[in-house]
Amino acid sequence: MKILIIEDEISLLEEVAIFLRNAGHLCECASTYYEAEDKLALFDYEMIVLDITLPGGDGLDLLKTLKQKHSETGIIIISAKNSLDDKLLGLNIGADDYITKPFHLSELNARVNAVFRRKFHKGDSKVSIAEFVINADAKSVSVLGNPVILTPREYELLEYMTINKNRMLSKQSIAEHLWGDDFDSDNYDFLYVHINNLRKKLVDAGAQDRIKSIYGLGYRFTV
Amino acid sequence: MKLLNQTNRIYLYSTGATMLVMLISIFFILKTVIKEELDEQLTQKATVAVEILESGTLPNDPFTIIETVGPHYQSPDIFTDTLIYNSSEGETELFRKLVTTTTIDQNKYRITLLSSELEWQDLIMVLTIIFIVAVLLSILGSFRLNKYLSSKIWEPFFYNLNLLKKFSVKQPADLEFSTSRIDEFQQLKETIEKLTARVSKDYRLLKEFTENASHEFQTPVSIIITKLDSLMQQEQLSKHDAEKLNSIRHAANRISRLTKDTLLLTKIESRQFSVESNINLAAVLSQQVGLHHEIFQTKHLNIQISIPESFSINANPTLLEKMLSNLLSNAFKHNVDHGWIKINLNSKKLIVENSGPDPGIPVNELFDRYKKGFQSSSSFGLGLAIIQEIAVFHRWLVDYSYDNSRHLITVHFNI
Repeated sequence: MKILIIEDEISLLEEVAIFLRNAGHLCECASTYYEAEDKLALFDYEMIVLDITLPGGDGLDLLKTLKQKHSETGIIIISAKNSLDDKLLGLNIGADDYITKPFHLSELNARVNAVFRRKFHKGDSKVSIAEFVINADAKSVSVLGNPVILTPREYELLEYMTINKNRMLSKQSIAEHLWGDDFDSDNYDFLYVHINNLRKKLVDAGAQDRIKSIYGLGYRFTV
Repeated sequence: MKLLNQTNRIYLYSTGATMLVMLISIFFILKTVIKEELDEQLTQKATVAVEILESGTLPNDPFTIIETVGPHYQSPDIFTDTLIYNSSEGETELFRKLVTTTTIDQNKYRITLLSSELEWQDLIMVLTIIFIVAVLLSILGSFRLNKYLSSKIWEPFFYNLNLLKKFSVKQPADLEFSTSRIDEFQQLKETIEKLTARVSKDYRLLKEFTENASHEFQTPVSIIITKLDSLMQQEQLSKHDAEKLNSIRHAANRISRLTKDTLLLTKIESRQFSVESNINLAAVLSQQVGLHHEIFQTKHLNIQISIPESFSINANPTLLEKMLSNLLSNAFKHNVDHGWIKINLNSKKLIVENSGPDPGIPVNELFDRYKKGFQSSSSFGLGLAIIQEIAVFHRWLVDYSYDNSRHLITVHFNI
């Protein structure tokens, strides 16, 4: 997927670009309003990750012009403002999703994938990873052709892990993905139960045990 | 005491005292003047009586008494007051009396002349009454006038005072202060205008600063968290380093959450949320309880819930969710292993009770920002402050109590 990342904080921009490249996307970067304007005039992108507080102009203006020219492009807004007004405004102008700083890169990746799926893979949304086939529309999973019955939470967990495969996902990032941004806890031990149930169901269905715990930091789904 | 009453009271005392002094003085002055007048009349009557005597007759007047006295009788002219019994009226009357002597054809006469003071006394009485009535009328009149004038003159003052009473930095409205032709009031008005404008501006700047600072924090925190995330991806990470990275990330998360909470408080205070009607509180509460279910299990808490099927309320959905989430997470954080939580919702109030240790600080300080009872806990003490602010925003009332290892928070909806 060809993605343009527009973010004025170079350090963050680099990190997001490296991450999305590792996740298998083609990434380009712009750190100012004008740079972004130029790139958008010259090239087409499937996805744009846009920080709306940009030097040189309002990111929301960029969004407006963008929507007029390339209405098919998926757009995810990054904002430091956790403000409902900005969020609604952005979504009304045509953004597909909205994520507030600070965010987990794995969460951004999940959002990019979800937007991409919604925009470009209408109808067929089956993804094969190793011995799994995941149907994002039906929210179902099969292992080696046999369907596995998962609870909605377990499905979300597996989907999040497969989207961010081979990557250590922090417990907090998993908890926030499953329970929402405002979920506030010092203790993520309860995740353990869900991970264990999921692992058991997958292994029972004949899959390899691919979920590894990393020093209590989080979990990695290895393929 | 009102200013008008205060001035009226002083005015009444001073006028009363002045009038009393004047009344007494006038009484004595009148009395003296009348005495002099009476004495003059008596002297004239004496001259007339002497003339009548010289003509050889006696004056035909009951109040002129002529007596013959011895040739050696000596007496100066004496004016005195005397009481004489009036048999026809059956009472004694005050008379002015002149005793004088005269010699006509070697005969010495003592002439006693009397004149009633009664009518003069009546005159004094009438004059005094007229004076008192006039004074009372003038005092009453000036009271009325004062009242009327002050209601007119002070009108802009009271108008501005009422505006000031309603003034709140949190809800700055354009205050149209009333102008006055009176210099002092005009000065007061201008000063108040400047002051309220400055207070509102300072408050706005402070709020903007808090908002901007909170926003600006999020970008560096994002960088820290994303960089940490990529460090954590290293295959050859040692357990020791992993633990260090983990605690750095915990700290970064705390900064992020702290700024988010501070920002939320600022936004609630500046009314950046709108109220929607018919939010199903019962549904939102059930959903929040569901979200917290897993976390409650980590302390093996016994949960008892009593929620009606549907209960609608006017609220902002985001804030309502935040308040319920904070209430539940408080009930969890300040709980003990194998403790309990009781949630009870009815049309009047929501009660969240839980077992837990003593918070250790006075109950009324718990709702203050950055005050935390459990010093060891990693919360910032903003949880209750946010609950409180959200309640104030919706005009609900929150109260908290602790006794017997039991925390109890009640949100009253109809107040």
